[in-house]
Amino acid sequence: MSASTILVGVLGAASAFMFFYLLRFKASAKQTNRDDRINWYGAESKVHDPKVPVDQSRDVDKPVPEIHEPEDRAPDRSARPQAIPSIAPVQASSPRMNKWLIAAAVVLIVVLLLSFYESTNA
Amino acid sequence: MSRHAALDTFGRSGNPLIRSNAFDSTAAFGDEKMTLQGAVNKTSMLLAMTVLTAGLSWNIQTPVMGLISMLGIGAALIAAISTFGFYFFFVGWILKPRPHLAPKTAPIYALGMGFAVGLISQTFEAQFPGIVLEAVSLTFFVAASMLLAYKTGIIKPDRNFLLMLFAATMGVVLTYLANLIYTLVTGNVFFVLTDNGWMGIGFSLLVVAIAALNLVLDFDIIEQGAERGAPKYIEWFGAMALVMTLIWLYLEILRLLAKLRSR
Repeated sequence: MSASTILVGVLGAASAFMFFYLLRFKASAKQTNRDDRINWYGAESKVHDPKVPVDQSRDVDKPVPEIHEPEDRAPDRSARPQAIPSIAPVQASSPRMNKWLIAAAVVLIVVLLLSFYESTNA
Repeated sequence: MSRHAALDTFGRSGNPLIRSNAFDSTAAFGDEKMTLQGAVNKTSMLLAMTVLTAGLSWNIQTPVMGLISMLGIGAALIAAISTFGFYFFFVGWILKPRPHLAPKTAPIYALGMGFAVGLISQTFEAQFPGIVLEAVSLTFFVAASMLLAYKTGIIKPDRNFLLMLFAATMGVVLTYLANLIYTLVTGNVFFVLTDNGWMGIGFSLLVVAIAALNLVLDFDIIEQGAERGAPKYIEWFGAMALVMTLIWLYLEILRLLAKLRSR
């Protein structure tokens, strides 16, 4: 093993250590306290109330149109399922997506089993 | 609701990434919140998985392993597309991003891509001994440098940064797609991708720079998620994005070193 190989190896190991070490720390105030930051999560406030859907909390200032319906004709809104707001939190994956994921996982398991079979026969 | 459907879909910019609230659909703030430490742990786990399968495909060079690697790459692609979505110019999101799937898809992606990384690395190592160690070291060196620059505030990602980087990344993606079609039709490869002259090396340097700058966006996603108390699955999402960029960076550095060595 040449000296340059050792040097490159040491550089790589030190860099990897630095990378994982630095990743744990919060960024400096210079980085976080900026007005022009990219708003990845779209929330104005730091923490949302989990009980309030995101789009409802945003539309607080907008006037809500009043609906006057005779009591006897008024539909039973409590029984109707609520429509999912466009930006409501998505809690569960769709069945279609699950099928794709299961298919991908099955392919991967087969791949791993075949690779182990190969390694034992090699 | 706006009268203009396009504004409702994309906001002020037509670019889906440039518009604000890129992860609106994920902004569910439950009890369990993401942490920086959690994201670091998940990144380590995913990298370990990649190394595991890369080791397998490196050591076992048989036609079956070639097929296995192809299947692994296929599974990784499905996992990546289902998590990050699929966007096409002028059409919009064909498949919307689903970050909440990341806890399931990230390990599939890491294991699947490991096969590809092992196979490619072994091919390069056979031609240029010692190149893989150099590429791995340089990848971590670049990643650590970018992280230091980000944490200290030397590089500050803003909307213009995102716009330019998105355009540059799309340019690279389109070049590779065009090359794929060109290869399938003519059997040749774009000159600039294989050329070991200054043009080829310059192109590789440019792609390495674009990949390295993409790391800054990954750091920002993780940092901001932890800062705002994003849901736990964003740890997996951030880790997956980071591993994806690291793999891309590694492969580009490998290509650059190969060009330099073949001169």
